[in-house]
Amino acid sequence: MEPLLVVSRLTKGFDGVQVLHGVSFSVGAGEVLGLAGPNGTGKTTILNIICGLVRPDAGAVIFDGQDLTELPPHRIAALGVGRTFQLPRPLRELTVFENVLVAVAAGRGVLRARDRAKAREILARVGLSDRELWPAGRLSSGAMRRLEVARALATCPRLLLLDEPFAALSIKEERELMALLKSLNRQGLAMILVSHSRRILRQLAHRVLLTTAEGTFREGTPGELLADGELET
Amino acid sequence: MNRAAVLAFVLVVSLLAVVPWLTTDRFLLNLLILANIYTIYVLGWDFLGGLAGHSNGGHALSFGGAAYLSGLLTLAGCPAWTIPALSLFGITLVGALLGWLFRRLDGAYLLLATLAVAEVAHELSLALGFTTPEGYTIGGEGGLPVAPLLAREADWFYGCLFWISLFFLALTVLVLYWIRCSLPGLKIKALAQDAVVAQTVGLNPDRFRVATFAAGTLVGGLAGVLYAQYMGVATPSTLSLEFSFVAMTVSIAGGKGTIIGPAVLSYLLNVLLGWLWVAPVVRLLLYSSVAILAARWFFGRGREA
Amino acid sequence: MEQELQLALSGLLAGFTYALVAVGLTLVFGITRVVNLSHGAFFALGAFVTCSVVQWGGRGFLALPLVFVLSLLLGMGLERWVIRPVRRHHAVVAIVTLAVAIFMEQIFQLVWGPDYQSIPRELPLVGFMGTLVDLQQIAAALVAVVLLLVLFGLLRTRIGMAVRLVAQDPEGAALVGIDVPRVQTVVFGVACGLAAVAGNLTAFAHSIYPAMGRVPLVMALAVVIFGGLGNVHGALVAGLILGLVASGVSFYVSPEWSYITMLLVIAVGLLTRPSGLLGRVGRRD
Repeated sequence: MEPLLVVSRLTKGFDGVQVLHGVSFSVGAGEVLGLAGPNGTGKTTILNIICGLVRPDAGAVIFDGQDLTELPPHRIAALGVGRTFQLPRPLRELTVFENVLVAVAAGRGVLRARDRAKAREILARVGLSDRELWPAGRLSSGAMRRLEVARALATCPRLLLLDEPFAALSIKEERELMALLKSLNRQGLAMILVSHSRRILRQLAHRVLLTTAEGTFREGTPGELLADGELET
Repeated sequence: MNRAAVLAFVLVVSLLAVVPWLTTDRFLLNLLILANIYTIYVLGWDFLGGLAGHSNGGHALSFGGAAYLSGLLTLAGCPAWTIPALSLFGITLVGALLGWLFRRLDGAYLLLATLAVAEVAHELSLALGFTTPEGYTIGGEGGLPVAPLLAREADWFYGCLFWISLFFLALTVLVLYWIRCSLPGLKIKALAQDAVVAQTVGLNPDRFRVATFAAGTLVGGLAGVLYAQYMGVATPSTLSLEFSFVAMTVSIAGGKGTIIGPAVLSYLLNVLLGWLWVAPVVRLLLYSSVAILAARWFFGRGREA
Repeated sequence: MEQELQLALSGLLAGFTYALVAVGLTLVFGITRVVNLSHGAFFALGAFVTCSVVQWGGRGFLALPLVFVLSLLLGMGLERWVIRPVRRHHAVVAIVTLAVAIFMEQIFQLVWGPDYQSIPRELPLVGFMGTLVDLQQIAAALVAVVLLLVLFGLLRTRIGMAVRLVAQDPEGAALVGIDVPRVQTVVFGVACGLAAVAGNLTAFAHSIYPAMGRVPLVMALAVVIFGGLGNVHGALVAGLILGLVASGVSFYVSPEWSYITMLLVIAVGLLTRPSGLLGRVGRRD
């Protein structure tokens, strides 16, 4: 079966610093690919390129047979790619509910009753129902991360790009988020998960792509890379 | 949607509507007509700069541009009844074009670019002019005459124009407020707060940029067309930097993006400053001080904007 | 040919004083990321104060230190109490500096009146090899050049390096112990002072009236955008080039069209340069 996402020979430099040196990988439908490696080795850049916020110097991104490389971010989102950010970026002056609602109804001109129900349902899934009417800026950082996931889910993605979603979460919050992501993955949602934690990657990722400071990368299962001592905790 | 605010607004408008029946005092009617017109003008900025977050440094262009289009169409001999609509259409097109042209700009850069364009228009209005064989000056400081739809000499001219301007003010406030509380308004706010995030959930920033510029210019242009009809002339001051500045100040001080707040503030300021015959120098001192203080109040360190 | 030469010379000399204004604006942008729309009003302040000094019987160039210190202090106060509180909000800073400019214009009108004023020149026009040479303009340009050299010299000293570090990496500068807010305030004040000095130097050459700061502001903005936002050497070169262009258009067409040309340079310049500069700016903001 054709993989859902094929990334080939992505190259990117910023202000004379080469960050990506021709990275290639693929993600199958329903698969979770972990992205690990030291800071500054381009993990977030890879995500930015896939979702269209950054244009690569060379290389291509094919999603479900469609070339995403030249498309603007909003079109890529409509095609089924969702994104969360490393530092949560809630729309602070909108309520939690509105944050999700605007994503649910992004492609429409008029709100339908279905949209409100769907937003409510998504918020229930991430456990934010009790804070629906709060201004998003008031949430704790753990709750903000869940809002990030909720907002990304609202666009009905088939591929979810998660940039360190577990950072700074309490044990309880981490467990809840892990359960949510696992359940979403069981339902067929593919993911690319950037994380430093081997514990997280071992639980969630089917395969891991390890980036290095020199620009090379290694691919394997979490078990393989752990055994070689490549992954740190 | 703040039902109480809308209700209060409708009440106030209804009360105002009675005024021409109570008095024919031209001074008062003139004051109120200009208050209506200038408030519509400010709302144009509040929508584009306040709600959508695109700081337009040249909002006077929509007002004076529409007025001057009316003048130019008059010069070209267009039938008087077509002029308002054509002027409005023309300036809205210009606004949409500028929105598209400057779509990659934000913040102070957008403000500067739009300010520059408006200043060019202002300079052209001052510099371009000619004298007819009969000795009349057309253009330059004196501006362009505008063919009126209503006879200015008639008794009921002031009353009529008051009702017309009041009607359009009420319409503008209600429509803009409704947009603000609706789904498009939500999207506009989302894009204003974080365009990057908004794009990743599927919102098209360029399309909204052009739409909000068109809308803001349309509203400002509406005020300009009404002004041209009322005054019978389009003058360079309608394109001035000070005039653009006033729109920004009143919108920010009234609570930018709230529509109702700036509308109320604009109305009160215009009536008060007009009633007291406050000189332009003092007015501008007041507005500039208010701008500095309001900016500090709403955007000062420690307060989230 | 003589006329062209004279024009070119005049434009070049004017360019030096414009460069003074533009370099100050560039510095401010580089250090504080602020687009200062009140810059022109300080130019006007310099001219007005010079006007008063002359009217009280003093000499124009003696007013120079007074003008500089006055504007330095005013500018520093402005940065500290008006601009700094809202610095995070790009557009609001522009609006606030615009408010300051308009406020100052009204003050000028109240104190000095709305009419056009002028002061006499102190150095004469002399004939030299068949052309008219404006000694005062040359003197003004010389002073401007000296000030610019002093400025560039200062930028090479330890103080200057601190300033440059703040421009490139404010967080890093703070970590090394540099008082970043103090540097920003002082640089802003110095820039305002330089603008006022430019106003003093050229006060003899044109009419003095409340809104006279707008043309220099537009010129300076055009130079800064054309020469590269935050690029001090670029501002210098651009200042000279645009000074020539402005002179030429002013002479061959009209002063109004010279102003319009500079406005178009701003609009078109912003159109064609945003992503690279904004990108870099954005990452820091």
